[in-house]
Amino acid sequence: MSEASVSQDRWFPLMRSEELVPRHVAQARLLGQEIALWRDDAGRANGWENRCPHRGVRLSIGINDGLHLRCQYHGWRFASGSGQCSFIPAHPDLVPAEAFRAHVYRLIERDGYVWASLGNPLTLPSIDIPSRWQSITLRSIAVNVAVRSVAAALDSGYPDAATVSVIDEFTLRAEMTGQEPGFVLFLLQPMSDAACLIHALVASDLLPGDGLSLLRRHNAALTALRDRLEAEAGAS
Amino acid sequence: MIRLYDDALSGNCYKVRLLLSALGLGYDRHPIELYPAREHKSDAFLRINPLGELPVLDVDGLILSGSQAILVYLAEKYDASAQWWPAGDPALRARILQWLGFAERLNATVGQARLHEAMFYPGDINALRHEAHRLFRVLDEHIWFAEAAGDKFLASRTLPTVADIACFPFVMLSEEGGISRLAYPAIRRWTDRVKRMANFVAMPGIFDAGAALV
Amino acid sequence: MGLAGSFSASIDPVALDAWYPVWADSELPSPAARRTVLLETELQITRSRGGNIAIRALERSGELPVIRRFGYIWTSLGNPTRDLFQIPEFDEPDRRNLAAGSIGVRASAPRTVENFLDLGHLPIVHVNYLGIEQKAEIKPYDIQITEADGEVLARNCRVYQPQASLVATAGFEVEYTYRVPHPYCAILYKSSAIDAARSDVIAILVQPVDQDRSIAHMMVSVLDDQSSDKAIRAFQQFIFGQDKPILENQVPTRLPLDPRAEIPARVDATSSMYRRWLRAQGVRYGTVP
Repeated sequence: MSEASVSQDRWFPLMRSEELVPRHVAQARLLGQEIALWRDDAGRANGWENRCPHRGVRLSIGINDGLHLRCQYHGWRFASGSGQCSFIPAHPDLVPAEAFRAHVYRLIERDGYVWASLGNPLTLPSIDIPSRWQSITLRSIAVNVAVRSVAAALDSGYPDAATVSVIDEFTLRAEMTGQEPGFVLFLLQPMSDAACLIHALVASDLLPGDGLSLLRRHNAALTALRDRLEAEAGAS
Repeated sequence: MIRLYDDALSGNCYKVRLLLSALGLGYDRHPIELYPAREHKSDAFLRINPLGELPVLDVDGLILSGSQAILVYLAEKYDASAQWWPAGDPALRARILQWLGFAERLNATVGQARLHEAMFYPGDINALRHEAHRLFRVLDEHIWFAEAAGDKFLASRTLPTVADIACFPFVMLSEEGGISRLAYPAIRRWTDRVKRMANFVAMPGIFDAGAALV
Repeated sequence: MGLAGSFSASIDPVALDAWYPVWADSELPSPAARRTVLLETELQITRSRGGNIAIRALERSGELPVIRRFGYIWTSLGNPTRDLFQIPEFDEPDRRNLAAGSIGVRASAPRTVENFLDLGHLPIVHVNYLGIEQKAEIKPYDIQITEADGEVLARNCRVYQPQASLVATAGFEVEYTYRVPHPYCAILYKSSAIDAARSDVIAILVQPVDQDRSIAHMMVSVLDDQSSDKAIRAFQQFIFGQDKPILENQVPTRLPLDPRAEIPARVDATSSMYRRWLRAQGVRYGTVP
């Protein structure tokens, strides 16, 4: 990745918390690095380098049994939290050496998202929402263009937004008029040099009871943005 | 007596094997070798199916070809619970048929990409992959909104139908054609749910899911 | 007669000068022309009406060397200094010798070979065929580089198999010997279910398409007077089909030769030896040095 190393020590949202369902392994990519995400039965989320330390097989094709992630190749089990291998079927009586450990990334869940960092951030991610307001996380949209193109496109406007402001190179905020007065926060996750995932959160003191039409409306706006950017880049 | 003309590595044949297992039906499996012998193009097999394609089902002399027709026939005739091809709701049946049509498009793109990579079938691999990703985007969006509305499967709320059976194999085998599912998290969740159907059977290239949380 | 000098610098001399399988003999009719890619080079393989086989690299003139062995047609883009390895069992008169299929896989040739050599995955990936989870333990076995031929040889590998071959009527503890006579070919000798004193021979002969993709040509030489050719091929393709998603999900696609990159357990003695052996010979193609 050509991104500056400051990105390594930053938190990025990878997915909505409610989509990290039990007994599943999700597959994400951040700054060119693939991450296997899984939630144990106690609710704890794990984000590991998507590569078994044994023979390099993607952990995302493995099995989440609620306590461990079991690699699909040799059935090695890696414990939630530590990533330490706790069982090797070919050597069932052996206590696996410390070296047999999945590479664990820092992970935190808040504000409806699972956030990860490839390095060591000094602060926690935070989203400021006025206390009497509600928020809803939208469907995340993958776009096959660089994150800066997405940021520039959002900066130049969003449907029903009075203004859009840039908070930082991965964060924008649209002040919304219309049906849900408040704001939309765009949290951009650089997947690679040429792809990005748009996470977005709607905050308002007037959210509708039935959120489905809101979700569809924003989904349509963001997919239209995606299609336009990809057509311009010849990347669709 | 049910006889299935079948190749173990064929995604279309697997659709039928999967439903047969779900329905608890015994059958006689008659292997037809797609590769390398190209037995499906032999004179003997062309007399059974002039299209020279698998799967073919023979039920006491009734010969059916094409996975869509076979799935609907088996569900209609043998599924006492009417789970797989629910009766009484024309709109639901039409939606299921839409997905069977969608499955044919997956076959023509994702399936062809797999054959191109593994068995050197001809094709414009970039075009096949491009169209496959377009279909996956449509599918991922559909599943995401279905989940938001409380529906676990393509056309139904809690139990899969033949729509899911038809679309599952080529989705699950997409990586063999170089089509990653990384960008389709809803599709990835749906494939776990399909694998957890009662009496699921795998095929080479597809792994069982672990047990669900109860 | 080789065409060295026109290729990318990433092809090491060992890989360049080796013999490679490129087509199954039985799958090339007379007359016919077929295309394939070897070491990033497009080849045309022809069999004339008279049965003569010729192979050319499309980008340039001249013909490449051709030999036929183990049911496959082999060629080289360089200057092979030695004869291709032998498998004496292949010539025993009561053997069933088959080319069991040539499958494209999105993995490097060394990864494909190493998977074939791997014991620990048999009761996991091939569960209920080549092993069962309750008997997944693999006891220590013997591994060496043979003095005579400088080949990797693993002996006394034992694994319980419920269905060791098509003619096996019950599960038993099968004895495996692995032999690596070529950087991208591996041979398995497994105890026959019919005659305990002899072995079935299964080989994977890998054609590197480029550094990240290969074609696995499968060969069997087995003691089996019951099964059809179709059934024998189907079994091999089934097993390889189960390995495919594993191979195609290994990161990186190329085989790391640095022993610190991936951590072996004791069961991985053959693969550790294979990686050291490749490194010692100077093989680079399809590896991360």
